[in-house]
Amino acid sequence: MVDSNTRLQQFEKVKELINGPEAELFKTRYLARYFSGDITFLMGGVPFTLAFHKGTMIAVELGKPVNGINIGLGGSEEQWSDFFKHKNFQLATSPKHNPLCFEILGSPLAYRQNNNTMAQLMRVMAKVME
Amino acid sequence: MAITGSYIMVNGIKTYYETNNGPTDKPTIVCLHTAGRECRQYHGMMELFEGRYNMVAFDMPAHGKSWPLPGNKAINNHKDYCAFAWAFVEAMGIEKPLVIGCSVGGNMVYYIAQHYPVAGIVSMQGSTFIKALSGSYGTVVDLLDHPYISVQHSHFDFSESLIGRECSEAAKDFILWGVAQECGVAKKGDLSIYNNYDVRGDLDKITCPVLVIRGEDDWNVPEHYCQEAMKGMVNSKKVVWKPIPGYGHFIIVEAPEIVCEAIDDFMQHLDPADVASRA
Repeated sequence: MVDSNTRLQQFEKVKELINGPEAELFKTRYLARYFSGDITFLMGGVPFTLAFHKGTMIAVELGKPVNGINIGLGGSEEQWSDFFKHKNFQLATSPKHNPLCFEILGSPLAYRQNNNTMAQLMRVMAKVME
Repeated sequence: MAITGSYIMVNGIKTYYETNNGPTDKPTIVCLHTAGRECRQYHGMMELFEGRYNMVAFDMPAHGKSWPLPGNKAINNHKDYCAFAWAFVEAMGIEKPLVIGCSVGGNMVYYIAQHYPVAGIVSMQGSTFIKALSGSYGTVVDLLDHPYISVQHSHFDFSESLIGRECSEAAKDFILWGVAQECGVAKKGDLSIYNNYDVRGDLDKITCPVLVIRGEDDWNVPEHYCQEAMKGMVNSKKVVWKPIPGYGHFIIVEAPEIVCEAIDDFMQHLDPADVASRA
């Protein structure tokens, strides 16, 4: 079980990577330059929200956005821990292989349209949190 | 390069196909493409088999250069899919082909072998049973032709995740270019076929030789799908298993050399009568 403060520190490290060495790949190949809004991850019941403006991460906060979740994924600590090991976004969300697959948060439309951006963000998270 | 393209009318649908114009003294290889894509996926294999086997690959209705069904619709169930594929085989005047398919095509070859006279089948990244209507996968299918969704944009990551680690950058680029050219209606039709597929009850009807190929980096088609299929084909003359490490779901594009080598070896298991009748 990772405590909330440690997770927040890890997300700050993710922010450094996603705005630094990972920025070009994130914004171009994974289309993050089109994304402005919040991505919320529910980790064992604890929500972490990352705010973006045109693909740049501008804030990391503990909690859900006051105006509701834009997009995100929720899962248990065990699921996240498993994902951070294998680093495959789709594997972790496939009900065929993982009966405890992540829960899609927010609008399915917004989720689907920004799947690439969130998947790459999660790969970078895995580098930090494995 | 000996690949040429042409059109033929199949069940009233103007259907595009390509061939490597190979020799016809052995069974013609008829190729089924993956969901949402088209026959160019087989170019690499066609070039490798040039002068050795005659290969014919066609675009299913609403895919690539083939016309859609009336009303701009795509086929959305496996029986109609296989009936159309066989109508193509008959329209081309091909007898007892080796039918090969990848992904949804890899699923369809089992049904084709159960119901149509083939010399053999090759299932790549295929299964005899898929049930994935719930959860995120079902949502993916439902949203493929939603007016708010760009299927090329939203499906990019899904396809990328299926590619093997050993795939060349050029092949990867072509696979993702395939995503960029997809039509939501066609893709939804194919994944609807994919999701509701179950031919396990008739596996004992398959008597022809079967080659099962699996790129091991494909998370979408786990090995037990292939093992269950092979276990059920108790009356097949020969079942050959070919796992390919390092490559993934788009094995025909990712590793055409390895797939061609496996098919070349497999050809020896086909009924000599089928081969001799063409000489």
